[in-house]
Amino acid sequence: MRNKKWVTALVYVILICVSFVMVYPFLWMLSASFKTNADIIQNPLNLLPQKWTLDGYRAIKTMSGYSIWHYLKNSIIISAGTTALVVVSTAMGGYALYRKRDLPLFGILEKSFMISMMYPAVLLLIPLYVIVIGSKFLYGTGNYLGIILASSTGAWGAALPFFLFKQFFASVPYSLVEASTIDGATERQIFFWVMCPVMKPVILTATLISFLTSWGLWIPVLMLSKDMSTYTLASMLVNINSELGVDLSQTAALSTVVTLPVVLIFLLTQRKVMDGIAAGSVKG
Amino acid sequence: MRKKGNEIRKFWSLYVFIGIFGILSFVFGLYPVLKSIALSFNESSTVFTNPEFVGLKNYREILRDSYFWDSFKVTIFFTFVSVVLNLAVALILAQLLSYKGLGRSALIFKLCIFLPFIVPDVVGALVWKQFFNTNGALNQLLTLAGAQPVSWLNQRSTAIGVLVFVELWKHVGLYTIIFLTNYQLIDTTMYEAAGIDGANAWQRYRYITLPALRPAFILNAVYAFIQFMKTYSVSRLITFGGPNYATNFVSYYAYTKYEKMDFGGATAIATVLFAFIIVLTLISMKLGGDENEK
Repeated sequence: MRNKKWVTALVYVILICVSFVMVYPFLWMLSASFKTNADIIQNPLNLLPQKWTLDGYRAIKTMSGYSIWHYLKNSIIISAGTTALVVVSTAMGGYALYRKRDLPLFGILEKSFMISMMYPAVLLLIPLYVIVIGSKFLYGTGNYLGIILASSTGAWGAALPFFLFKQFFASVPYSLVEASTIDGATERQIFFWVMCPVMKPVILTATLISFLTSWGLWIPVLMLSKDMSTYTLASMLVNINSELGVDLSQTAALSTVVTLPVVLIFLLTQRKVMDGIAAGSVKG
Repeated sequence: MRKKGNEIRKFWSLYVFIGIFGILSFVFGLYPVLKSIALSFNESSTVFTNPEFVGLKNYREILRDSYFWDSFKVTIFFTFVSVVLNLAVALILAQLLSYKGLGRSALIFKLCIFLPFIVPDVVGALVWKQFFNTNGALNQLLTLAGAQPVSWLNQRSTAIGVLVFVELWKHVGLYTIIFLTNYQLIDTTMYEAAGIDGANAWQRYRYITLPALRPAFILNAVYAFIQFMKTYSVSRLITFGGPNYATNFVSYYAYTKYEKMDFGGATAIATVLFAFIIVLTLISMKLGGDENEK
């Protein structure tokens, strides 16, 4: 009995230490965002500011001539657009592959998706850049479409949701579809009236996961933007750190602003997100 | 042929359903991959204005390039260490998290461990960069403890260690969750039977738990392998490939070639990396799959 108490204590101690390491950067970031630059450099160990200041937040109010709301708006547009496209394409595509995998072209489509997942994503942007800048429709000041389309592929945001749906359909009895065809339902009716209600929870999970992962994307944004009119919060964070003489309290403040929405959404929906990611992965 | 035509006519709406997925996979997936491979056979300087086919020239050049070989070696070393470390730590964490004595606090630990995975990677990279800086928190801690400060990011061996650590911090939560899911699928009656047969804790772990976790092992290993072979962000955000090319991973090296407008070289490197990833992935999936069927 005494032995068991010791084991429990040990497990707790290890997990508390590990958890501390996991959240430490976020605590450090939050405290640094209220510190002065001198305080951050001199006392990096202190998790409480010597003197509280909002200098960092003042420094992110306007960046490179645009207000913070501009970058926030871009983050929302690009992650919402990517999420919508990812969820619609993987849900409907996944269903079509489940319904009748042996139709002409279907196999090639699925393989193309898998191949684009394995190509180094950063370098896939070189040909994508060539495709995107060649098109008025996809590229230009304030044009988000190229970024959203590139971010919605297997190389970036679509991989996890695709496997999530694949895994989900593997558990749906095919007799559900067969019964509906016998009743004379058309393919559209089967999808919208029979499958969609069953898919509701998994659609929700895919939406959450997709939003959380596309919120932090910065490589496609930096590479496929014509100018800063389409920069997001995350890409701006990379941008202010590529310059010489980094303003640490500004960086910490912007990091906090980037992190806060995803942490809030995650804490509110953690069960769905973690179970969903696990389910989507185990099949993949 | 007629049967196929009939099927297409009968199921035409399925083509509408798969349409968006198909366009994305073709136009923004397969086509860029093929285009990138095609670019690698062209002369770099004229690739956009006046494409000139040069055969294997770019490949011959990178194979002669000692920076490429160093980059390849360091990427494989980094991937090997990271895959082993991530899987080992995730396995231990999953074991600890499934310990019954934890009760409801297990959820809080799980949240903390998973948190870095969903937060944008740039945030973690920038904070850790500051932490390992010459006058950062870690060195101040060492000084307080009476030890000599270390310039973590300016030495070859420690710089790659820092990147291994940051990537572990970022990804281990995902692998832990996947192991945990697999844990919940283990048939618990096997443990009872083993208990009756007098198996000790280690034997139960070795002969029941580990074999039952095989699916999660294969999945995590393949995922982690693809993930770490393609590592780019931490190199770009923390070390810029340095010091002295110690963290010049293949993806990052190809990217610097792209920045210097050497498109042929960049795409040739990308294609070599891609071929390596796809061959090893197929082999490991085949091995994993075959073993499962036995």
